[in-house]
Amino acid sequence: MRIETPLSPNDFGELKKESKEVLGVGGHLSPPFGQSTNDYVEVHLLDTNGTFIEKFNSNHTSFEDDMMILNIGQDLRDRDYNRGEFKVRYNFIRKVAGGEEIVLTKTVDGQPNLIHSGNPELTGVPMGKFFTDQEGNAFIGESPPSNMQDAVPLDIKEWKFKVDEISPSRTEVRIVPQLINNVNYIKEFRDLIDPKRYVPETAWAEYVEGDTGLRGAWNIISTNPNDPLSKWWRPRLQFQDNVTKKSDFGKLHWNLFGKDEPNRSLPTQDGGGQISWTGPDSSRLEFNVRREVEDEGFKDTMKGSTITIEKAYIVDYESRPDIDENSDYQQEDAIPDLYIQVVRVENTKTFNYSMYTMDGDVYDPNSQGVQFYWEFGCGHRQDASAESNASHNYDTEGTYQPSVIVMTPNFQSEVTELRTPNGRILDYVEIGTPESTNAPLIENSSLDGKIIRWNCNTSQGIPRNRSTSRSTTSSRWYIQNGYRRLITNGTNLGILRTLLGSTIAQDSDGNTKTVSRFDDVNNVNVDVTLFNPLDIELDAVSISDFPIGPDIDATAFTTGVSINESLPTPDMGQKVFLGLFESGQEETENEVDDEFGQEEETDEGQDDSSSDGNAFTVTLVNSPIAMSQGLAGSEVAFQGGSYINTNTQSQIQQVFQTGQIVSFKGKGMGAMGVNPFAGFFDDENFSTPSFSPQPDADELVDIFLDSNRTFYVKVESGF
Amino acid sequence: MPLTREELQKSEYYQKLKEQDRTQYLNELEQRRRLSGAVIVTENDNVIINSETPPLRNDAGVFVAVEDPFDEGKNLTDQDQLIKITKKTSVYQTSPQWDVILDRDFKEL
Repeated sequence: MRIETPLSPNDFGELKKESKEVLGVGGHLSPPFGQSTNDYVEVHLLDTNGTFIEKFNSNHTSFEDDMMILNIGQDLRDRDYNRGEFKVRYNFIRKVAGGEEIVLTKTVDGQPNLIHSGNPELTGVPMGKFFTDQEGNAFIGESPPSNMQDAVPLDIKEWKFKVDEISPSRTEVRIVPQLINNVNYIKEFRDLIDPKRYVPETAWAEYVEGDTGLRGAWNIISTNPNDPLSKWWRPRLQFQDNVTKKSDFGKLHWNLFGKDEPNRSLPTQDGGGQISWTGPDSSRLEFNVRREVEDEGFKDTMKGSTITIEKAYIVDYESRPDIDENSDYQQEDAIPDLYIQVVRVENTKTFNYSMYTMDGDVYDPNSQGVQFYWEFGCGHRQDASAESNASHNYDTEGTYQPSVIVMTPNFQSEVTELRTPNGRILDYVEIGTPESTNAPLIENSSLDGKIIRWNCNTSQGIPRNRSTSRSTTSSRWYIQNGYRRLITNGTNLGILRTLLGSTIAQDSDGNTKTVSRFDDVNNVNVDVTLFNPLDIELDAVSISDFPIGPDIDATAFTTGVSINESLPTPDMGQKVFLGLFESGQEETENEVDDEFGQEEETDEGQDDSSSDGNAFTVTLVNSPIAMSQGLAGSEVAFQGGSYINTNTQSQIQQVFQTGQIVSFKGKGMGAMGVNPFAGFFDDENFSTPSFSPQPDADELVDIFLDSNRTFYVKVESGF
Repeated sequence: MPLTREELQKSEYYQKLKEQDRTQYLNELEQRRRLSGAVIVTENDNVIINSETPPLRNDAGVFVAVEDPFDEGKNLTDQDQLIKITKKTSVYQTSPQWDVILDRDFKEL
């Protein structure tokens, strides 16, 4: 059956839900009728003609499950209607504001209509004592004063709101509050029309704390009752020391003023309960509005309402870092292609490794963000560090393939390519003669087959021709398999040029082309003859990057190492880099290795050198047996030879045809360790060590030699 | 000669008359209940009130509230003396539909 409403049939059809429901299960009508203490049933009694007789509340209406059970007979009999025929109309009413209670109001400090006495649960104010006179007027106090003129009268009011106006259709009314100055009374009235809003109780104190003005006001109100501010607020707060709380003030201020002031807002950071997703991938929100026991949280009347969550989603944001932006920041680049540059420390088993880019630049990020993890190929490793260089002393002879893993925050690369300082690629590093192969590694240079000369710029230093002699304006080398072969004199240079088809360059007038270079030895400029093809002019560093090879002397064109052979030859040993003389450095001998004078340039074929060939002798002198001097006998041997002891020969010698690495060893005579081997010395008095540190007994030493040299062995007596 | 209430209670005649009226009253009630299907006669000829019985009504359909003949001023508590109304009612779509369908602005005041 459709309940009669003003709805048109069409609107009714559109708005009506299919199923019937119990009103008030949730939402603003909650709870269902009969479950609220504000619910009551009002009976209107009429005669059979519809004339209103009286109204009264039903005391016999009960509720079971989804049913309301009316006991009309008993309701009427309670009113002594035992016989007759009546019409009854039952109204099911829920009180939403006001009540039947009586309150007494008074005027305090000019503030009228303040509650003096009433139901404390209703008013929030303790009951005040009062008495009444014979006419029913109420006064403050327990009993009448001796003079009734002194009695303070009270106003008697009902806790109700008045119907101020009724619409002509009698379907709408305007109601107004009475003059009762009480927070709860005003709130009841406002709640009739205000949207229901959940504000956690804990938010009120924070509302005060978060505003300097409110915080100061509360301090005055709570501590200085005589301040005008206190006199205004205290009555409205029904202030009681140690009872009225800051949150009470915040709540009242918000309701009276704050919510209508645009610059006011309730706290959003705390006191607003908690809201969170129910799981990492959940789309369901969970509310926890009960932060403290006094906070009743959501109510059933709020079911079906709209929840507005401010800032629930970030729709836009502005990043404000609390640090300055690094304008130099660049996104990390990938690790470039790298190789390991290998340099062996002369006369040791130590190799120095450095990281280079393929452009030949040193790769040293010098950052903790880049780590290098070195493996030296012998089983030894170096802990990862920011150090891009590494040095390793190998224990034994052999070939090794070191590698390094470069690690950056985002990239990782293993580098295994080995190169010499002048860019030649190595398959491995080698100490001694590897037993696994007799074939030396053939290497290459882009300058192979070219004659090179120094640019005579001494700012970088001066290239060495030999370990003890320097280059000049007339020094020339021939590059063969990446080795630098010194051309020993003008004759040999002329032969070489003929073989290479190199001719003197001339201008259009047939004049010889020259270029001026400074001769720092003689402090003059000299004209250097140009050839076609041109000799390659290099700076000192570039020249010193080439390891030295056999000299191109007269034998190079007969029985020696020709320019057609592949270098290194088996007897060349390890690569030797002579390095540079610093400009002005004092030379020890052969101050200037002037293989062929500048004149050679224009007068080829002149041989002004007396050193055609470069053979030299290395002498190893055994330690003498001299107990008085604490010396014992020794044994010495060149690499590949047998030990010769002091008793057999006082010294041994070997002649070498060209500058090269010479390897030899020594030890004490007798059982190993009895007579300690002290090492090799440059003088027979053992005052100048030849090596530092000295080799161990029976340990081969490698040293580049290109001239006569004598080493004296010292063995200390063990007795 | 008029009698007081106390005297009536002691009057045998009055008591018989009262019992006769009560019997007649109950017979009429039972008869009405039988007609309305409100009573069930068991195998032992016992008569019980149907728990699902509708409220007792007269021929005109008016609800009849019956006083307990043994307790003056009290209504019978049988099921047919109660009117049961379901709480379930038609409900309507609420916002935002009603704002589209209905003109809910105030027209008066």
